[in-house]
Amino acid sequence: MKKNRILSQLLKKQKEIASPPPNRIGVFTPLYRQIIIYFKVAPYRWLIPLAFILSLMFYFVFKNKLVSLVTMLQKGF
Amino acid sequence: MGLGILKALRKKNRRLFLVLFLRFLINFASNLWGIFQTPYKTTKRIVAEKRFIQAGVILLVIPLYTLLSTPVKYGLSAGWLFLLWAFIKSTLWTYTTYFLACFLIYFVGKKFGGSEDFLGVFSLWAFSLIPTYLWFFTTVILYLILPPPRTTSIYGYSLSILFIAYSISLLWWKIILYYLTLRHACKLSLQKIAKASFILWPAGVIYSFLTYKLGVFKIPFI
Repeated sequence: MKKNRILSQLLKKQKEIASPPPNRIGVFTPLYRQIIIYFKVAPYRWLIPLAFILSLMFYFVFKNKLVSLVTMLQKGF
Repeated sequence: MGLGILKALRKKNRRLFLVLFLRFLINFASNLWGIFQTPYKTTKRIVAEKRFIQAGVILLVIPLYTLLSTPVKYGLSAGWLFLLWAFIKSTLWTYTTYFLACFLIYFVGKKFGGSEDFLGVFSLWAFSLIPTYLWFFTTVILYLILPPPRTTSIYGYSLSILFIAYSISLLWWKIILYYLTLRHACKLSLQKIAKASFILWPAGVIYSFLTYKLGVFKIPFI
């Protein structure tokens, strides 16, 4: 009885690990696997600085239009 | 666990109710932190454990937000009847949008050979509302503290840069949770997620345009 319970729990864990199917994108699979690590744990560590850099780029490119965009977004609720 | 709490409440078993309620709170807090810190592992767990009661708790944020935003948007001088109507309209539209999004993701996922797990989609999509409502709550509070328009002074530019960076961060978080919903709830591979997105994103854009034209949502809310 105990062995059946352990076996069923092991099978359940195996199914949980195996599903969904692993992602494969041909020759880019190793690169994908290296990049995806940064998304799986604490993605904010690099997403937030990147968001700041993008925001600064928007400022340098659009200048006054950035302020108009924020005015529009602030009224967007 | 959520159903156990209701049973304990019905049987007036206070001790059991408190224990189950605390366990529910701890698990819920752990999931809320998890979708921020370890989104991949947490979303997989949420789908496996079918946390639809936690999803229901998150959906209660919708009327809370509408209660705060309606008087700010229209002003208290608009009259209580008008504000009540605006509150009901906004809340119903938001719930409709949420359920439409869940059904669309479920049916598109099923079409691409994904798993038929509506509860998984329902549970996970509710957690994806967290970045959405963080943005909306922040916008309302900012509207009260620093109402627009923004100026072209150094303070105006600084706040604009900060606000855009904040918005982009939350948008990326939402996109990650969207991807993980299709990955874990619908069990789709990356290629199938890309193909499904060719249906889901245009549908989202059309719906956002329609709701904007109807005066329901100014900013796309999905």
